[in-house]
Amino acid sequence: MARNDVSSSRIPPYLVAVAGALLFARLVFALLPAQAGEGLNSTDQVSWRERPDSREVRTISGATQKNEPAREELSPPVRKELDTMLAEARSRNRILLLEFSSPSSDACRTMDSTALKNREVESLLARDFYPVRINDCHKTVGKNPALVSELQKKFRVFAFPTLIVVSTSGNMKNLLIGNCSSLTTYRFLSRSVYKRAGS
Amino acid sequence: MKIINKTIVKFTLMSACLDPLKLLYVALLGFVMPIGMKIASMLHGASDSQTFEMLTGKVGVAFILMVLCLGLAGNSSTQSGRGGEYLPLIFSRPLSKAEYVFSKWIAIVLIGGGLAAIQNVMVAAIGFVFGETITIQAIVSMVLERFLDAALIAAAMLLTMLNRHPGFQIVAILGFYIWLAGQTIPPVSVAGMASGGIESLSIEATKLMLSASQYISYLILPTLNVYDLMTASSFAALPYLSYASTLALYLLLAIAVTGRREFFYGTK
Repeated sequence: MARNDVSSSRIPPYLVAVAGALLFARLVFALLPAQAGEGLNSTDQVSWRERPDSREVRTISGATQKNEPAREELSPPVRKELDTMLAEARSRNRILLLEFSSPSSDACRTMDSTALKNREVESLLARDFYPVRINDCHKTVGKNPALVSELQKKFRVFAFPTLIVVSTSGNMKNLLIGNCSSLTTYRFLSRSVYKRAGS
Repeated sequence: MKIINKTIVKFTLMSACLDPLKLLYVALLGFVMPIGMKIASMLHGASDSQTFEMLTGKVGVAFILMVLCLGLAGNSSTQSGRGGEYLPLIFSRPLSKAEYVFSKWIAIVLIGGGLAAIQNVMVAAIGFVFGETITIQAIVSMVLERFLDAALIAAAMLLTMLNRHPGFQIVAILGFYIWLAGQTIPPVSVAGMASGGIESLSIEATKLMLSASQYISYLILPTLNVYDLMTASSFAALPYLSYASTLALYLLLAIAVTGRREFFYGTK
């Protein structure tokens, strides 16, 4: 009985060794300054158009109380900008995809470096979409240019990142809010492609 | 050395299916709700909601396990459960603590991972019918991910069930709920400037809770995002190491804290 007691209470030594080795390796990798695999990253397949660009940020006039449009309306210059983006997308036979982002947002940075850098998501974006990143300048410059604030109002953007698929008529077709996984992002994009093919 | 005891696995699987109310809850929350949400979102052309993402992801696995498997190991498992009459499992020979823990763990992983994987495949099939592109790789990664989620959460649950120190159990449950709360909010930054006062306080409190949830997730439930890892352009070892080390540690501690009274023969 005593022998049984000893053997049945014993903690498997291999499990102790494995757990110890894994914890040590985890600690070492966590303390390493940078990911060694960064150099293996493939080159970007997708070229995002950034709005506003650095020149525009320097000359932001902002949307004042007086010229702020109603939620569904856009001022003529912003309407023209959106039409230009739609025309660009149409000429390439692509779908206009707006990413409302904020350079100061951790969630946006994470999504840009993970889900939007995923191989399958990138190839879908490169093949079927005309992606434009609309950067919020509230935290960096203090206010947004009319383009950003009006588009945020039109598409009811309340959080970053938000991906919006825009229909050919300039309305929201589909949206995805938050830093989602690659699979969710891929499913969201693939559904938009299917809907276009079906329409 | 024998690691898995088939009788314990079978008994645990049967014990999980005894309460019809629990089964109904799992059927509603695990299948009816997410499938209904998926069909509704596809019919209306809307995106999958955060609730749907939760119910079909690691939170869904946690829900299934919390409902069906809480109390399936340790002292409470030898007492008759609600909703069914069954004889307590009385062992006729000594078995090792490791055999008991591994057998319970395997059974709980099969329950949580199996049900969540079936749900994921059904949801993927519905999406496919409505035009979503879903690759075999994506389906395999979803199924694998659900089993990996179940493996880690089951090990953490076992440790909590077997360690009967009330302080430990309170901390574990608190940690689980903070983790859960973090999963219910999509990781976003709020647009626009806060006007101060209550609004700022609310945003800062939310940020604090999200940060706490992220730290807890990293330290105690570092689940793997299989699809991201399978399709990543570069290899990162840290997520695998975090997952494997936490799992090994939980199982080791579960064996260490298991009292022989929990399962020794002659004990009810």
